[in-house]
Amino acid sequence: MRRRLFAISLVALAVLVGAVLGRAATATNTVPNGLVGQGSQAATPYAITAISYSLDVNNPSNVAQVSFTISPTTARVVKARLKNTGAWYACTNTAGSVTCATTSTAITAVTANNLTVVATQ
Amino acid sequence: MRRRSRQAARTSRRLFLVLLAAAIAVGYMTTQAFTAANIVPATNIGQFTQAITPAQLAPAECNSVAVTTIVSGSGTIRSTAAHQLVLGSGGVDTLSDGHGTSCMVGGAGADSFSGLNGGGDRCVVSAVAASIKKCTVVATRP
Repeated sequence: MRRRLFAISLVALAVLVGAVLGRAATATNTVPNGLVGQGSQAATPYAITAISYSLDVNNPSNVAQVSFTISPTTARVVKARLKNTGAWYACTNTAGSVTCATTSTAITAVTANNLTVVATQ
Repeated sequence: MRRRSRQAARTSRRLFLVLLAAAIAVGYMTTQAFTAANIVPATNIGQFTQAITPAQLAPAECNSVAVTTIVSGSGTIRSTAAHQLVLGSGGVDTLSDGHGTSCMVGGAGADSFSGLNGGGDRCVVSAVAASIKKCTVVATRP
């Protein structure tokens, strides 16, 4: 009976010591301020207008460039292609006036059938 | 005995429901506290698609021709219909129109142009063009 009481007391003491140690160890932790959250805002598309094409002056069978205006004018990355599954051409945006040279991968006027422009800020 | 066990079951069910409601409330309050203050700026991204028509590819000087189809090649290039955009190559070409109201565009070579008599053809020629017949020169390049 006394041995049993001693064992119970020992376990209780161990739990108490563990709790005190744990408390002592965790109480000193410093957690910096952090931010986390969620928000949403609809992404609006760009407006492409005033599209014009230029034929290669030396070989008019090929298209040399496509140019257009973009709004909002702040588009940073603009790419275009002149046919589905065709090559993508990098474009230069100067205050909303975009020019895309199409000579890196030649495209003929006969095969140019669909203009696709992708843009992001 | 049976009454006591039924009472215990009812008490534990109540306790479970209270705990569940408390957990839902705590979760809701946590999300509200952290998500309400976020500000997302307006952004732009998009894809634009438009079919390319032959009229769009024709030089501006040929606008009066109202091009509807395109024929191109090298060597001898003949129109196959009226209101056609006839495109040459970088070599020496012979461009001709037998249907009227076409726009013929030569390249860097010494090209020859031959339009339809009274057909209202327009020609974009190079500075070294060999001959131009029955065609109104609307631009010279290169």
